Amino acid sequence: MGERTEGIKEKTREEEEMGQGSKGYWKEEMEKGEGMKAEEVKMKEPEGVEEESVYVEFESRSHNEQFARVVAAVFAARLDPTVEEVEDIKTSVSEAVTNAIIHGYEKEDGMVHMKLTMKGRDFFVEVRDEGVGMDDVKKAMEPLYTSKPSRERSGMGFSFMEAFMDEVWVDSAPGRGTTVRMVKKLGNGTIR
Amino acid sequence: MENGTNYKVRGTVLYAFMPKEVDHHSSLEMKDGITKARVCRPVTSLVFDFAKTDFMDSAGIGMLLGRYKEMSAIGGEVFVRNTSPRVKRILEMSGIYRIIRDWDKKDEEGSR
Repeated sequence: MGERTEGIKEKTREEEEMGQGSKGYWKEEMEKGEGMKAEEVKMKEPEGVEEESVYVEFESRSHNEQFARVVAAVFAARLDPTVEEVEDIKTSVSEAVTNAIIHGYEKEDGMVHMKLTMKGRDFFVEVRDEGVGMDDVKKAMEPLYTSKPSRERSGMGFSFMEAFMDEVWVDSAPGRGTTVRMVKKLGNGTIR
Repeated sequence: MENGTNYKVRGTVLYAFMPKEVDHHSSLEMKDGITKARVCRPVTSLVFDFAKTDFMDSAGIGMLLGRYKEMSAIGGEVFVRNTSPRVKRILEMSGIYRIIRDWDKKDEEGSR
């Protein structure tokens, strides 16, 4: 309620053909989201797709950035990803977790929550903080934009997430924390 | 130290041997380390050696940009060296090659 949902990438044709992937998983989020069509939300779940999740939470300390991406890499290894896919996931997790630590919990420490889910060949990452949140998600996601120019931030965190993952969603509101959700479809073999 | 940064000054060139993983956490340490190393002697070129590095994210880019600003303020230059394919890809995506050159190709024309 009152949260913003920025769907930054349109659903692709392949996804409809596959009939699996993000639709079912993000169903709830999409129902809340703006501009999503009802029939898209009601895609039926394919039968027999294995789903497995792990959930970790850790303090908002910078050395936990490494912890988070190693956990993601180890979990993703079960899907037998390519070296490049693992690197893409590690970089994206690192970006999201660093954002939570630097921006979300800028003023006071808190817990960062990370949920990893694999469903078929899709690898979902959710990184959530209960920090300060932001009112302009679109602006935050602009390449080179940084709210902290004095802190040597490149402003490329979201650009990297978007480049390395297949889809990225960000929910945030001032005072309500930020949730980043991303999906990587393994085995696409596409280099973008 | 596997995940630490080592520094070496030769003439007016400061070499920073980058850690295995360059992220926000290790970038904080590097910023201090380079500042301290530069205090000792006048440095006109700063060379980041990525021979040991197999991971870098946007925080590393931010750190490089910060050092670039400091070095260009005194008329110095920043270089990278021994970049793995992954590090190279991150650097390319960031567009930083427009301002930072590869140390081993610095004598080739047209790289700036």
